[in-house]
Amino acid sequence: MTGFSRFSRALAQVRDQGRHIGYVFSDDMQAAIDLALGLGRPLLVTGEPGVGKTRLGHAVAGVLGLPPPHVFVTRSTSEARDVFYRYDALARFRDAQLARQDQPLPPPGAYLTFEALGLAILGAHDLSAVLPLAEGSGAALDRPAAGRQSVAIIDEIDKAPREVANDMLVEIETFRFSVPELAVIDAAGRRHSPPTPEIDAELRPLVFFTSNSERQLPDAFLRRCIFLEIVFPEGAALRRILETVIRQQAGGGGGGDTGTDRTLTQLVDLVGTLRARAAMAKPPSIAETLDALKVLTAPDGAPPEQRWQALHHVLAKQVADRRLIAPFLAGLQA
Amino acid sequence: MAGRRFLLDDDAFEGLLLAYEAARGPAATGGANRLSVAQRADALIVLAGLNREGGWIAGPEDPAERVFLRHLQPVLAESAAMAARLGAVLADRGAPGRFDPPLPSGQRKTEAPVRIEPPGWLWRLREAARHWLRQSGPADRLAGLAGALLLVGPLVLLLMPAPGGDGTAPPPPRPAETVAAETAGDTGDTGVTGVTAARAPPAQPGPDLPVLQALLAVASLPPRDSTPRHLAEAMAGLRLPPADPGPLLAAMLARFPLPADRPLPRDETAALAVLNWAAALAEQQGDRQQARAIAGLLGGLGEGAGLETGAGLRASLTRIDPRLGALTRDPIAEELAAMAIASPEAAALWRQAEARFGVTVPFVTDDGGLPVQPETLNDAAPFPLAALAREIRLALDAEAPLDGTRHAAPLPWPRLLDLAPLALPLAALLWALASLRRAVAARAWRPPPLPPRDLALVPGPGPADPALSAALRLTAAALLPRRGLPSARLDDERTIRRSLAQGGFADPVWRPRQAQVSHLLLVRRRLLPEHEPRRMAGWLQALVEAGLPGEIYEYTDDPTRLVPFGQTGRPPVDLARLQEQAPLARLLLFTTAEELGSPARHGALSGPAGALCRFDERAILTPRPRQDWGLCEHAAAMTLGCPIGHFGAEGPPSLRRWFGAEADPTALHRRLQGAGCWPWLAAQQAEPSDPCLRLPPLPEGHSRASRPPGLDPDEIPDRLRGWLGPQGFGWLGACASYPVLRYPLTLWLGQRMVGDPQLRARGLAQLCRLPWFATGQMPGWLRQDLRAALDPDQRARIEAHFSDFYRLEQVAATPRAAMASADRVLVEPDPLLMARDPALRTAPAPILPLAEAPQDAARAARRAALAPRALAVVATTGLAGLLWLVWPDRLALPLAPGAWIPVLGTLSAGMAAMGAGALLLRPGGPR
Repeated sequence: MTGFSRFSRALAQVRDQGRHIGYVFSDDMQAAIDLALGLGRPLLVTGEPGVGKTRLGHAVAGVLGLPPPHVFVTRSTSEARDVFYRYDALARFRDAQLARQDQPLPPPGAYLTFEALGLAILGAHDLSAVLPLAEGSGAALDRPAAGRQSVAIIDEIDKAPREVANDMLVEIETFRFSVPELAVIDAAGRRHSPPTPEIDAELRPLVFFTSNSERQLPDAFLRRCIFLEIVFPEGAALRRILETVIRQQAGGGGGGDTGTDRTLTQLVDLVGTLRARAAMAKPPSIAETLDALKVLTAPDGAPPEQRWQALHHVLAKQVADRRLIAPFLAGLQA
Repeated sequence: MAGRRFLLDDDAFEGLLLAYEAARGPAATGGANRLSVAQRADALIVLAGLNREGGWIAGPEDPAERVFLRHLQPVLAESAAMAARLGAVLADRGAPGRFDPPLPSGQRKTEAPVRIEPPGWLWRLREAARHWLRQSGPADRLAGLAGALLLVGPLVLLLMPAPGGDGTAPPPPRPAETVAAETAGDTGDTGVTGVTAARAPPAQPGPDLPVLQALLAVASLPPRDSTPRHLAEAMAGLRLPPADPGPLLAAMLARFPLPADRPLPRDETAALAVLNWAAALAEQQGDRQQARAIAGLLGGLGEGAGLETGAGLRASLTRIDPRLGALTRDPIAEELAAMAIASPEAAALWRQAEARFGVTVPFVTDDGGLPVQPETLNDAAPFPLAALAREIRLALDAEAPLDGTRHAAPLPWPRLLDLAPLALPLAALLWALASLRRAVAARAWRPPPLPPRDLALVPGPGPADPALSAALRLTAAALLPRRGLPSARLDDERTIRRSLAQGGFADPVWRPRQAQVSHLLLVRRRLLPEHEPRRMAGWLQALVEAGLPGEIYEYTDDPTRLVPFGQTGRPPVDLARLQEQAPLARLLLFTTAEELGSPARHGALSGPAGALCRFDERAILTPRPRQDWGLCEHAAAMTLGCPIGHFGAEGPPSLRRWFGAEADPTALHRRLQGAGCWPWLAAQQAEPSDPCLRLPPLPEGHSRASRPPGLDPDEIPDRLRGWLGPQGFGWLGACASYPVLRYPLTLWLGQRMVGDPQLRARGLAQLCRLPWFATGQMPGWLRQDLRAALDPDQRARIEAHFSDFYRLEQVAATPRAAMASADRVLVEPDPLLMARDPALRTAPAPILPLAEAPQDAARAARRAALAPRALAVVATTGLAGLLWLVWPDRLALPLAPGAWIPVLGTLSAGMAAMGAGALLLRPGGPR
């Protein structure tokens, strides 16, 4: 147990210092991140597309003062091993075929590429402790000698087959993994690939699994995670997010003139109305709202009517939705 | 947030977790509703850790439940659905403890989001017009333009002011310099300016002749009131103090004698009489100046103007052609040559009359072709006086107020006749509004919520029957949540054996692994009256709630376009997408084989069959008993390449056998019987194993509108009583008491008529097999027979139940309906049902009072009634516009022969067209 209020305290400190991190944390988010840090469990973040699941990991790393997150983008062909490392066996086979006497074969570690979760686990150990494992892998050596905590983002885990989540149950619980490709043969002739050392509880990586809930994840996996659903913010919460983005665009300044305030108000009302009443097949999410904000506040001198009309292309992603939002855009301009 | 602690109540916390586990139900992840030990431990660790650090995050208005949920939900809930259930349980039970310092308890106030109202109908109309203009061709646009003109034209005509009385445009505003010149002309300077002034309304008042003006005003009353006595009384009343009308009348008649109690004649005589009486009244009042002015008016006619003078003037005016509404040139020229204006007062009075009555003196035209002699104009008194007299006569005829703001006009027919075209749309509008009032009254009627859908399975509120719950759980468990699949591990022994058997060629055999599967239960969306499919869907839902992992989806025609059960408003989901999400899912199609396609159309399933066959494990379950199967069932099974079975008590064992989980098909039977819950499953099938209890054959024509000849009224009730038993027959009689058969109502009545849950389940299954419960209609004669066969106690109970029913709730239905009368609704059978059951086409549709009709029926009837009314209003308005256009110009008097023919022709054609339209659009008319 490393503290159940570490993140919220760090966030309060950041706010006191007046630093802008470009992300608005709700109370629910803070509580879930605190619990994930306190329990040392991965955080499973769900929510509709564009609601800010992936950016959450980056923002948390910024608040906690951790290095940029290691990101792994899941594909439909991904395997559980790919989350930790990839091994180019074909290249090694080719090199072995072409090897000459005067040019020794590179060590197996040279064909090893660590991925997000592997890098986060290795980074939590002192370099000396994981040096045999990372031998030959340059990426693993590009780090300070002392271990430190880091953030790993496994993006869109639901795109992978169910077996991927099932096959990493032990690893995400113990934060240890092994590389069979680097196995050594002991005196008894048995192949031996020791896993990474036990990890210090204080340095456990903070792992974010993001999911669009397109596929049901295994029960055992779910129960090893802290669950956080990012719901779409409405009203004042959405306005706070937009104001944060505007401040960030303005370099941390105010940027809140009357015209922008009115634009913000109208945009928040519009998005709230579209989500509540327009029955769109793909309602606008935060990402689309931010795009709309950029369109409305772009310094290109376009007349406001033209900008609002351009929101058709930003807020509606289907033909039917374009027809649905037209009356609301007209109502806004009326 | 620093220092806040949560003081946990252990018992309450345990109760909360138990309630949460119960609420998680079978739909929890993996089908297990229990929280894991790790989750419970994590929850306790979180509580302890947050208390130690004071790390509870609470907003200023967050209640205790919200704060507790915020910190425990990430640990205890694995999905959004579970989070919602945990939130519901917590809201129900409250936080299991209290915060120190305390937080408010209760629901958090949520801010009301600002909503943008889309533009109204005007904007939509404009957008629709734009869209139509973009999409339409030239011919369409021309037709649309004509239609718009037809609609807008009458409206514009209605809004236009009535035209002027003389058929000419109102005189233009008068320039100031002309007024000044006229003023100079009034002093006798030049006659040209006087003539010019006569073409425009005067800007200055005429001579002060209040007596004459008052008399003119009184004389303009309706003819029966314009007697000399009435004039005298009116004039006496105008004086202060009021004078005696007797001397006034005497002076008037002494000056110009006319019968005292007869209305004034409608000719120049009256004009001269009024002028003479005005002079007499002025003298009576001692106003010598006014009396002289009036006498000056009469001066041109000679001293002592009387009847003879009036007769001479009348003879003069006969030379003026009245059909022109003004004076013709020749008579004007003659008059001008003979007339002279006697005095400036006369000229001023003429201008005043012009202003009042809108008279344009035509003796000067634009081309100046008239032989006007300026020097003689001031002496042309007889002509203005004659014109004045004529206008007075017109004013008397017009009975218009002489307020100087309205042009009096000759009316060859009553003025109200001008508004005759307006009467048509007005009448149509009133007609439509009357029906709208009835519609509003119908809309005010709202049915309360329906009883729960699963009353037959769950006996009312409270804990479910243990045997039923056990039966449901066992049945759900029998459907095997796990499935064997080949794994990546080699089965050494079997591989060696197989390879040896293959003569040494490697033939790997992989070890099986158990994978969890879910079920995709597809049911066809049913029409409301169909009972059996809805019973089946309710049974399926109970199975899912009892632990069968899976989801129920509905489809209409295409089984690859699915909507979650009971969520008809949601967009459909593609079956292929569901298959991608759950590739191991087992597909169970609950339908009849006919709905999948007849054997004759064997390719009917070719489209959806591809998507259905992507599921490795699939089966069809039909509600039809096995003994009724035919070619359709075999064709469906062959097309989909899957087994087909009867969805009844033997359904789950069949599924176990098909999917290879159990070699012994009787094992599940034995387990169910051992658990004491087989009667429940047996009750779910309407066809008991005892042949004596099977559905008796019903006589021919049991669904006809009229009783089949020779059919004994007791025959069908007797057969059904023996099959259903006394309680079930009472239930049937209760259902027959309502004009239509509706599944929720059947459940509601069963809840009250049959006490034993097992009997109720059996009775529902039996009722659903009856043919009337598939169509939702029962002939009236059969309803009467069934009610007559009930014993008095049952009838009394049924009436009591229906009293409650009408008082508490109504049945929602969606039949087609029409207004049979102002307060009765004709509920038509659904077209699909009519197509399926030919007997319904000839059956009389039930006519219900509006208050008893289902809401949707009333709405449909209202809509059906309003549409032709709206069409009638539009058509009538168009006809009124056409009539307005062809209405004869009342200024072009006298009317030419045949002037009314266009009106009559338009009216006849319009009425004929509307009549033909009404014949075509009438219910049951040619389409």
